[in-house]
Amino acid sequence: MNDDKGRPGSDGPRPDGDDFDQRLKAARARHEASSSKERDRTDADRNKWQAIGFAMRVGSELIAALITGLGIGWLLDRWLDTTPWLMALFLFVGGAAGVMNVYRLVEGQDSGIGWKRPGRDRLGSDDSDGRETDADNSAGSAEGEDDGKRG
Amino acid sequence: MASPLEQFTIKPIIEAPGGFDYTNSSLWMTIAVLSATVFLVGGMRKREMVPGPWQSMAESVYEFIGNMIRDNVGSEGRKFFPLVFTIFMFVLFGNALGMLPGAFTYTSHIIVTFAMALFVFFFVTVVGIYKHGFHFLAFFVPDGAPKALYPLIIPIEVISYLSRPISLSVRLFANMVAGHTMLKVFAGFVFTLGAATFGIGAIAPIAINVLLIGFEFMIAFIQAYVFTILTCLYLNDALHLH
Repeated sequence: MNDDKGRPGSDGPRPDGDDFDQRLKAARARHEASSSKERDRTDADRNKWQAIGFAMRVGSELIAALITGLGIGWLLDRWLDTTPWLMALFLFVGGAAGVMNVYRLVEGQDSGIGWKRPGRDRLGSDDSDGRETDADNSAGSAEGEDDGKRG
Repeated sequence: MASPLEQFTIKPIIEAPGGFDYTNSSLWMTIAVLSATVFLVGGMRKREMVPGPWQSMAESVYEFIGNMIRDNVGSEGRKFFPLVFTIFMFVLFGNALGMLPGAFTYTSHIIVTFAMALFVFFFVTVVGIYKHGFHFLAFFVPDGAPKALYPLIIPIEVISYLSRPISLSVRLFANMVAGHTMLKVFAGFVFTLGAATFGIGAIAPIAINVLLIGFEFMIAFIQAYVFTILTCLYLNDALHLH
């Protein structure tokens, strides 16, 4: 839109052409400044939403794994008639899974089951897969920080 | 006074044999689907280059989910846009419509959220198996762990995987129930405290309820967001196994 309005001023020989171009340039600079401010603000907003969403997940990930462990133990007990031993065992396994869920969430490895880096690293292309295995250990902590903000 | 939990009772509106009643829950699901359809179809009716307020709202919801899929799943996730978008709209409208006075919040029932979470879980698992076949099971074997620990780690990984639908559904359901119950409890305080102190005591619970309602609107959006983004992350896991 702005381009279309700007062109006649520069193309055609008009007496106030320079003046118009200057005003247009100033207006564009103003617009650019305000819209980039807008972009920063929405980025900050998005991070805030993600942070809250992230906090919401921590508790439920912990509990859900515990419940799942208990449930599996209970079902196995009923099936194998070993009440209450498997339920007690799977309570601990479920608890461990819950702690691991939370650890992964906080480390930014998210829902990636199987100790692999999730999401962003693997998104772009397949050649990142090779790099991933050896980069995993060294870059783990550094990437964990900025992935963690993502929620 | 009515119990704070009374708002969650399911009442049949149209009785049908075999338990297929059309309930207040079904009614609000219908309303959610209709209003989401009207919101989107109505907003995009004119298809203007410079969108009006309604069209720009519809477009921003579309872009919100589009960006979410692009950021979390990548370009391969594009074909799952309809599913993810539908889930988001259904949960968001369920949560938001529940904020209308007298409305029924269908996301406050574990069976509703669990059905959705279970669908997501099975869908993602099928996508993973379809895409990677038998190799999908490598999902549960951690990278670089010593073989001696496999008997311990693999059950943990399996439980961690199976806990997904539970954490997904319980989080949404619990947030909705807790929020709406709290609103009702403080609304009850307005009457009991107000009656005991000639109306002065009612001010504090009313003020708290005003805050809580704002908070609930935020929760309504955040829970829809969390449900959707986890669907995206699970899809990402299934699509990019290694």
